[in-house]
This record gives sequence, structure tokens and C-alpha cells, in this order.
Amino acid sequence: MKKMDGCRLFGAFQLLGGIRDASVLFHSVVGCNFGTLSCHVSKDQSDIRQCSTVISDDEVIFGGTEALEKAIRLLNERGKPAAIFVISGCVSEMIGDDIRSVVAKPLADCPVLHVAAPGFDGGSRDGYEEAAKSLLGLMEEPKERKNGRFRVNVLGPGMDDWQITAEKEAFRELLGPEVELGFFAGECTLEDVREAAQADLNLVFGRGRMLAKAMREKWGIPFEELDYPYGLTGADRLWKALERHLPVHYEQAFADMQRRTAKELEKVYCYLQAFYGRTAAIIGEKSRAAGMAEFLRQELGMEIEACIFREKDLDLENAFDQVRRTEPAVLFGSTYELELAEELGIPLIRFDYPVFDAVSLTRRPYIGEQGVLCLVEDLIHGVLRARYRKGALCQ
Amino acid sequence: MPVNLTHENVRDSVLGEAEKGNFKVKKICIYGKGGIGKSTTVSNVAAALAQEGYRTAVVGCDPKADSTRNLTGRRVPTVLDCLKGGAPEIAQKGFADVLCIESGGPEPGTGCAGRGIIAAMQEIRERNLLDGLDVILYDVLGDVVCGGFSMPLREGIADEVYLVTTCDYMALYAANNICKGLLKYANTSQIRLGGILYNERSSRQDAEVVERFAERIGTRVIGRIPMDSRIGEAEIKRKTVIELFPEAEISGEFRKLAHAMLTNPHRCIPTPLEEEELEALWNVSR
Repeated sequence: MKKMDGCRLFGAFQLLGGIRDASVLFHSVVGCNFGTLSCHVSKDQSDIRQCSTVISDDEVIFGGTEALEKAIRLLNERGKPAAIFVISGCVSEMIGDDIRSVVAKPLADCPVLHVAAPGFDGGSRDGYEEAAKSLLGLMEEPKERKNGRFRVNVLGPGMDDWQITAEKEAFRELLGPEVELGFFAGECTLEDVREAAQADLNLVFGRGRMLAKAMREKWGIPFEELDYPYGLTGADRLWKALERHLPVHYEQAFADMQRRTAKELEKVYCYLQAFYGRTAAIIGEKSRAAGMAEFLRQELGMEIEACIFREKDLDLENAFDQVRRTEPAVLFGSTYELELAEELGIPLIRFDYPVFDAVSLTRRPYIGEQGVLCLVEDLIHGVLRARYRKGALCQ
Repeated sequence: MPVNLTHENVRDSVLGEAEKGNFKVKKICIYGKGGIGKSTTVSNVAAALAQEGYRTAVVGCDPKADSTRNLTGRRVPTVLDCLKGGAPEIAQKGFADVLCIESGGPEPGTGCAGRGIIAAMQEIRERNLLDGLDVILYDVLGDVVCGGFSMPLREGIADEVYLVTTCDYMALYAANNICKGLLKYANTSQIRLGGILYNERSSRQDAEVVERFAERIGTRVIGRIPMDSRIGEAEIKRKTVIELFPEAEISGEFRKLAHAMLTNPHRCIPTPLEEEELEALWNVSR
């Protein structure tokens, strides 16, 4: 069976690698480093803050703690990171290296945390949850804030998510002037993590529930679980969640976004009309896929015949067969789905992790007001440039 | 036609065939519960065979690396020491020129000893260290606890297994467990159970229980090792009884055992017992 989801180690990496002044040290074989790196290089090749103990036969047989100690010292000395996150992979977990004792030693000038992420024990979501939970120990007690603004954390995004930097900005814009963005998972600093407990609310998009729950238990910070806020419907969902917990109002923001978006989309009205009733297929992480399905249905009137959640324990080929049967006009997914899109001769809209066959130098989010326009633009471009089924747009 | 199976006859016949290129090297694995006397048996059997002129090797498959201590009089560098760059030679000559190899392994409580066995076996094979021998004895740690410790049962490394046991429950329980591991590989390879070696080193003696166990799993007891204080004495002096007390009765018993293993025609795929069957071995009315 070929799974659709990444392994536990990838999930842990996506969260911890997103702490931009920290470094990740894989206590694993070299492939784990290359695998995660290959999903990262298309995003920012100047940002390599990951390394590996490169476990070989010697470490497997005699134990890898010595190599780990050496690697932590080296990383501390050369990288001078704000924190070191040791992510242990399959081999070190199978041989039972005593990593906890190693990270407890005073080997570095910064905090050293360990997250066990053997690929045989769960998928990417489990790794993310485990890594998120480990951050709790770094968070400082809440204190009084002086700027008078409310603050929310966003959990769920991960480093190397498509357009993560643009998405963060789009989230900030959606929150508006009264609410500030605190810890944004996947794109933050260690200071953001330390201050995460200052938040009034945690918004959980698919992943990070365990941390949000722990923060509620420890500090009484409430949390809301939401699908990604694609489109106007997604923004509305997000705003309503904020209104439930904070004394803020977004009716005007909603009306403004609706008006401005409609005005812009008028320019491609004929194309949009042609999308009505067309079928689309979606493969993605649950909260992204569900959020996207909602946007396509509610705002573009498309038929979503196949909406497949990546973390379901599905065989990749079975999932592809489901998509094939629906004969979609467009496929939403990640680079993993490119082959299927090419086979079907339909456009692939990359919106889910991992995307490693495209770069993102410009900021083109898929959420928020700008996100609606970017999504519609990419959708039209995709269909117009596809080999088949573009006729409908040109009638 | 009756055959006179004296040591001399067997040796002359086997070595004669070996010279003609017809004798197939005997590759024997000794398994059994920890502390049951595997290394003592292996080193004495090896010493007995080597004295009779068989080109013999002992391969210790235990991280403790003490299988060949009584043959060499010291702890020899291991294959894994060599792989780590600490030892130039991994095969040492011991008493009566027995070739002594220890796979070695990690410090207690660290790493993966099973992987160590696999890596060591590969290295031994790549260096052709066991070519041109008549008998190879593998002394394997306690139980078939994981894939690594079952390595000698696979890939044609050994073709016969002997189980060392006392008449105690836990020893027979371990022997039965090893049969389960053996069964798994016997169906897809040539590995077979050669028999049971009954070690009388126990506070109680009950040969019948061991006989019953052997019969029920489909094999037989092919030899016994009597309790003898000279075994312990020799071990303290880092020697086999064959070397230190060559004329003693116990040395004769080891020679007999070596002879029986070499000529044993009975090889079987064992049928391991269920736990209740195993416990029933002691509940037979006399």
C-alpha cells in the first residue's frame, strides 16, 4: 500500500522547522534529511537550518547517542540557533537510543528539545501534534499586555506549506486592526512560541489540537477548530469564530470584502459562469480540502465529486481511481497529484503540502480577499492552458 | 552391514571424504536459554573435534563475546571491533588451532545487538573466513529474540541446530521457543533440528522430562553433559576440560558428544509444543 500522507517525521519537521531562528537536528538516517529538504528547497534555498546525525551501521549496532551528542555540540557551535529540536526517526527509535538523557545534558547554549517521530508510528498529523505538544514547555506564563489588542494564535500551518508567508499575511489582514496575530505555526520565531500563552484564543486548522487543548487546560485559553478560510465563506467562518470568543465585529469587513471581490470578479464574469456546475476533485489535508470544497461549491457553484482527505488511511492508487471515476475538469492537490492531473489532461491547482515543483517568490495567498482573486486567476489560467475541457470557458 | 562407529573410524572416513572433496562442511548452531552451558559445550566440542584433526571454527554470536574465551585464554577482538576500526584481525587461532571468531556487539543497554550479528555475519562471509573448514560451530545468544539472532538460521549460514537444556521448566520453555523460530525458517531453507543436548547441571535431575520433550517435538536427546566441578575449574583457568583434564571422564563425554553430533543422521523440522503441552511434561504419572 502506498500511503497518501507523509510520515510522522515530516509532520514534526513541518512545525518545528517553521521556527525560523531554531534548527532541526534529525537523529536518523540521511534520507530523512534529504526527504524533508527536497520539500523545502523550492521555498527558500537560503534557509537551511536542518541537519542530521546520519545514522549508519555503527550507530545502529552500538547506539547513536554519542553521535547525537557530537551533533548537538556542533550545531550549537556553528549554527548558534535559538533552540535545537532533535527529531528522532525510525532507526533511533527502533534501537531505543536514550535520547532523553542526551538532550538533558548541558550540551548547548540554547534549549534542546526532543520529539520522537518514527515513521512507523503514525502519520504526518501525529508528528505535528507531538511536536506542537513539545512546545508547551517553552511557553512563558501569561502576563498583562499593554497595547489593548486581542491576540490569537494560529495552529495547523506548517513550514513549506504552499505560500505560507503570504498566507500568514492574509491571516493577519483577516484578523483586522483589533486582533493581532500571535504565534503562527509554520512561520514564526522562538519568541512567538514563548509568548504564545499571551493569546486570547487559539485557532486550530486541522492540526495542533493537542497543544490547544493543553493550553486551555493550563491557562484557560479557548480554542476553535476550523477549516481553512478559503474565499468569502471561509473568511466568514473565521470571523464568526472570533466573534464567539472576543468582543469584536466583522459585519462591515464581510460586506466590504464581498463588495470589492464582486467588483474585481466582474471582469471575468463569463469565465466564472462557465465554472458553474463543473466538476472538481480535491486531494488534501482535511481542513484544507474541506475549506477548499466549501469555497468552490458555495462561491463558484462547482460540483465536488471527489474530496479526499490525505490523512485517511487510503491507498494512493485507490484515491486516484476515485478521482478518475468522477471525470473532473480540475484537480486540487499537491505535487504528488501532478501525475494524475497529467494523465487526465486537466489542470492541477497546487494548494496542499508538499509543493516542490514550483517556487513562490511573489506573495500569492489563497486565503483572504487577495486569496479569492489569486485562486480564481489560477483556476482560469489552469483550465485555459489545459489540453482538454477548456472549450467551455471559451464559448 | 554393521558399521563400527569409533572416533577413529568416523574421523578417517570424514577426513578421507573431505580430501576427496565429498565431505560437506558441518555448520552447526547451538541455541539454548542464557547460562545453560552453550559456550562450554561449544568450546569443548570444538576442542575435541580439532584434536581429532577436524578443521574447526567457533563463531560466537553474542555481544558478550565470551564464546571462545576457553579456547583462546582471553577475550579476542570482535568482528564489530574490527568494523569500527579498532582491530586488524578478526579470526584468532585457539587451542588445537580452532579458528575463533566473535561477532561482538554493543555495550549492554545500547544499540541493536541483532543488527550487530547481521553485520558481523556479512563481514565474515565477505572475508571468506570460514572457507575450507570441516566443522563450524555457531554459539548463539539465549533465544531467537529478533531477526538478528535468527540470522544463523537463515541464508544457509548453518544447517543443523542443537538445543542445550536442563530439565528445568524455563530451560525447556526457551528450547521450545527456539523451535518456533526454527520452524519459521525450516520451511523455506535447509535448516533442521539435530537434537537435544541434555545438560545435567541443575539442582534436580530428570532425564525423562527432557526425553519426553525431545520425543514430542519430533527429535531425540543425542548427548548428555554430566555435572562435573572440573568444568567450572577449567573455566576459571580459561580453558576447556579437553585441554586441562584430557583424561577425565567429562572430557570423554564431550568427545562422545562431538562424535554424536558429527555422525547424527536424524534431522527434523520440530513441532513446538503449546504451553499446556509443555507444562504437561511434568504431569506424567509414573
